Amino acid sequence: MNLVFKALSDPTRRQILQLLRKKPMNAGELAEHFPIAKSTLSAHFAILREADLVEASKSGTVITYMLKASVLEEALLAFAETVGIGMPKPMPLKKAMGRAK
Amino acid sequence: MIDRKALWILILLGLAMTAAAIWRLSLLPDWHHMPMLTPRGLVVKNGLVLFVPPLSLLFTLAVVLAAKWLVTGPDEAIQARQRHSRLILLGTGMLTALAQTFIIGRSLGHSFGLNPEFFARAVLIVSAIMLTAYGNSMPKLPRVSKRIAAFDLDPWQSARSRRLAGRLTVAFGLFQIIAAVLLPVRAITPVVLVLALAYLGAIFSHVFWLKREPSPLP
Repeated sequence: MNLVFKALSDPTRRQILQLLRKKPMNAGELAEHFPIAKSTLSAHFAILREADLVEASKSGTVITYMLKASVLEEALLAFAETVGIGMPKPMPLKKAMGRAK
Repeated sequence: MIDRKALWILILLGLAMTAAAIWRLSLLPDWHHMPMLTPRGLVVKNGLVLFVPPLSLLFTLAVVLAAKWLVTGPDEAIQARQRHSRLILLGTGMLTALAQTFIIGRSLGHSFGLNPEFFARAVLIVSAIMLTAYGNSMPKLPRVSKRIAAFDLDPWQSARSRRLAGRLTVAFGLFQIIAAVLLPVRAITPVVLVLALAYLGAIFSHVFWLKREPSPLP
């Protein structure tokens, strides 16, 4: 369960899971949604696979990912997304106002 | 889906329960009139009530064997499914055996210090917890092929179908817990039965809807 919490604590990994809820995608299609290096994305995939949240099937050189989360894990994903776990803390109002000026 | 050891345990349990029911009936002068101890005192019931637990077990076994016949696939996938269903099957066997013991005991005048209403609610809650745990891990099951083309889905359709089935099973289990706690005992069975029919209808209609949807997989 620790692996699942670790996987769900990162917003990028949660976004990957949200995308995979809609349809299976290969690594290239997923990469189009994130402005990060492919190696970083590969590390995210590895963590998701380790937590058994995604299933990867290889066809030739293309790896297609599919969501494989239990009902509880999907509920945890929705909860983490609602609460915003791992998201950068919002800037204090005074500081934000100062910057705006 | 069931492994051989669990299957033999359930068959032996079913035979023992049927033998116990026949033995109890043989002690009665008229099997239409079986005395039963209740909190209101002795009441007369039809002796056929003794066959309800073994018939429930037989029904479970029939469903499991039909499911086993329906699917084909790699051994690894089949074994994973067998492991997944083992707990709920053995649990069902144990609960029906417990219910049978309780019914026979009460018909012989033993109350076991338990209120029958409390016992019925406890059995429903335990079975609902098992159902919820079973449903929770349904989306993680590996895909298997079906012998009947109408039920055979591609990997994406199968994953979606298992996700919905998992959610509905968990919801069904949670509702059964709420029903067992809040509803009057007489109302629980019809409510759960209607819900079970709606559950099956939803799963089958979703499978047929998925078959018509274009799959995103190449």
